[in-house]
Order: sequence, then structure tokens, then C-alpha cells
Amino acid sequence: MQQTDSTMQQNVQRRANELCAARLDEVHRSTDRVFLWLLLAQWAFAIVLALWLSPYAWEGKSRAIHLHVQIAVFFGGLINALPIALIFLRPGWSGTRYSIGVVQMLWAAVLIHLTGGRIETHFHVFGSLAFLAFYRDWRTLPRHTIVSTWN
Amino acid sequence: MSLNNAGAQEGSSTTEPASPNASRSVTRRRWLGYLGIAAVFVWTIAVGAGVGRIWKYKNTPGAATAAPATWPGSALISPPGQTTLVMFVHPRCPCSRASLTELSQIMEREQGRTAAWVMFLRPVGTTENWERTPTWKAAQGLPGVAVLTDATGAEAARFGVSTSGHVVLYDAKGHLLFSGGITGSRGHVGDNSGQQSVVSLLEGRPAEQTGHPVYGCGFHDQNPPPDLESAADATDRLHYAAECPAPGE
Repeated sequence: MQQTDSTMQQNVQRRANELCAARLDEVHRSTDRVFLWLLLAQWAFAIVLALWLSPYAWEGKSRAIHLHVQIAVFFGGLINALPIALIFLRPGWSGTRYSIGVVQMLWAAVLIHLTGGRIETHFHVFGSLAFLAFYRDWRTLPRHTIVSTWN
Repeated sequence: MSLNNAGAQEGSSTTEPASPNASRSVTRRRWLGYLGIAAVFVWTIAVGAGVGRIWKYKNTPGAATAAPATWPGSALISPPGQTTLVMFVHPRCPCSRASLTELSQIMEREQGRTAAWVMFLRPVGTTENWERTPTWKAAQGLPGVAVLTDATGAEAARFGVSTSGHVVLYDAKGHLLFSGGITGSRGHVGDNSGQQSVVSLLEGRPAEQTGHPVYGCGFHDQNPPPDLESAADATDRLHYAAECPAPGE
């Protein structure tokens, strides 16, 4: 009888762990999808911002496409490439959300640079922390913090 | 299924080698893993290179030039009877918005202590009002600042200026106190030694430095800068923006 109770408890615990892991995996995958749209929206916003604020660099009356536009288009696409590829290939994987945390900080740096260091843009860092908290994985935050400090 | 086969099959669950398909699958997954690691490595290097490029651009100043040590006698701004600050701006330079913001902070503190001018370049060959951009409007809104047009670039050449955002500061006797920029890097507002030096000098204190890199667009394209002699004889070389009263009036 005791053995049966103990076995039953173990079965319940195992089942609870399975359900928790499945739920957490669901949370990770849905948060990955949220970040997919957020990363694309940030990229589009950066391009619009660069075209609006600094479309050209001037030398006298000659002009050339400003480096900010190139940064927004090409560098923005580059930093998005890895996390977006992982969202499609490995949704819910820990490496996917860690790469998203790192790239969010790179986006903060890009947007701060495009806006000339405006204080308001620095709040992108804190907004990113709130979104990363959706993962319910504390290990996402140290990587985000390290890149932010380095910035 | 015979007993022999069943036994053989039972034994095969522990001793039979993996099928060729399974081992190919394992090999393929291993190589995909290596490819993934290589892709992340290449991505990291590329991102690092991009960050380095941005950093280099941000911290590369315009061409270094020297302003005259005494007030250029032929300048069309009145010879200084008080401390005089002149900022030269390319009207379409995105980085110079930050320079004007820094100037605004200086003038909020020092308005009344100094005569301040912002000179907008209108390159030769451009249309009338080419310089009337949002940056021009922003300069007009600065406290205690008069806005002028340098219609041929002659004034910039007199003061030895070739980069947008360049500030020259002369004392009441016409001696050069400061020549350089007042932003810490391209297009960025924030504390920097150039701005702090200008503030110190305006308040009569010794400055940390008398020059600072200038971060902005260049004034000269493929054409050489205007000759000073011919510019001095030109009748249409300077237009005064009547909307802003001269400092001190």
C-alpha cells in the first residue's frame, strides 16, 4: 500500500513537471513570435527614422546617401538575421531567446545612434527588459545586461 | 512469428547495429550543428565589424583647420567690442542639429555676455534660399543669436572654417580664445570638453582646451574654396537675416 502511494506521488509529480514544461515551452514559442514582429517593426522604424532625420551627407553642394541609412538598412538586416532564423528553425529553444536578448540591445544602440543620443531613445533598453521578461527565463537578462553595459 | 525469430528479434534490440539510415541521419545532424556554429561565428564577426564601422564614423571629425589668431579685419560682422562667438553651419548637415542644441544650452547660460552669430553656408551655384532649411529655423529660435547667410563661403574661408558646426570665439580685443567643435561625436548631444571650454571662457575662467574636433559635413565639394581677394570685392557676399535683431540691440 505504501509503495503504491509513493509510486502515485511520483507519477503525479512527473506529470506536473511535464505539464509545466509544456506550458513553459508554449510561452517561449509564443514570445518568440511576438519578438519576430517586434524585430521587423524595429527594422522598419530605423529605416524610416534614418530617411527622415539624416537621408544625405553633404560636402558643399554635393550629397551622398548618409551612412545612417546604410546602417538602418544593412546593419539592421544583419542583426535581425540570426534571431529571425532561429525563431523559424528552433522556436522555443533557449539559444533563440538568448540571441533575441542580445539583439534587442544592439537595436537600442542603433536607435540611440540614429537619434543622436536622445535621452528618450535610451528608454528602449528598459522597454526591452519588460518584453524579455515575458520569457519567464531569468537567464535571458544577464546577456542583455552585459551587452547593454558594453554599449 | 516463430520462437526462434522472436528470440533473435529480442536479442537484436540490444546487439543489432544501427541501420544505415539512422547513422546517416546522425551524421547529417552533426554537420548541421557544425554549420550552425559556423553561421553564428560569422554573424558575430560581421556584427562586430558593423559596430566598429559605426564607432569609427561617429568619432571621425571633419578636416582640421586653424582660425586666424586675431579677428579677420575684412569680416562683415562688426569687429568685436565684446566677446563674440560665431558658429558656421552647413544648412543640410544632419550632425549640426546637435551642435545647435549645444549652442542653445550655452546661450541659455551666457546670453548677454556674448554676441553670437550663426553663419549658414550657401554654396556657389545653389538657388536663393537654399540655406533656409529646418536647421535654419532652429537657429533662428536660439536665444541671443543672429542668423546670417554666407552666400559664397567667403566668410567661412576668412575664419579658416571648413566643417559644419565649427565655432570660433574671440574676446573684446579680437584675440582668438577658442576654435573647434562643441559636440562629443557626430550628431550627438551630451557633455563634452569643447562645450565646457567655451562656457568656461565666456565666464572668464581658464579653459580645459582652446580647440576641439569638429564633427559635421564639409563645406567644400569638388570645387576649390573661394579666393579671399575676389570674395572681398564681391557685392553680394553677405545677406543679413532681418528676422533676427543683432545681439545687443
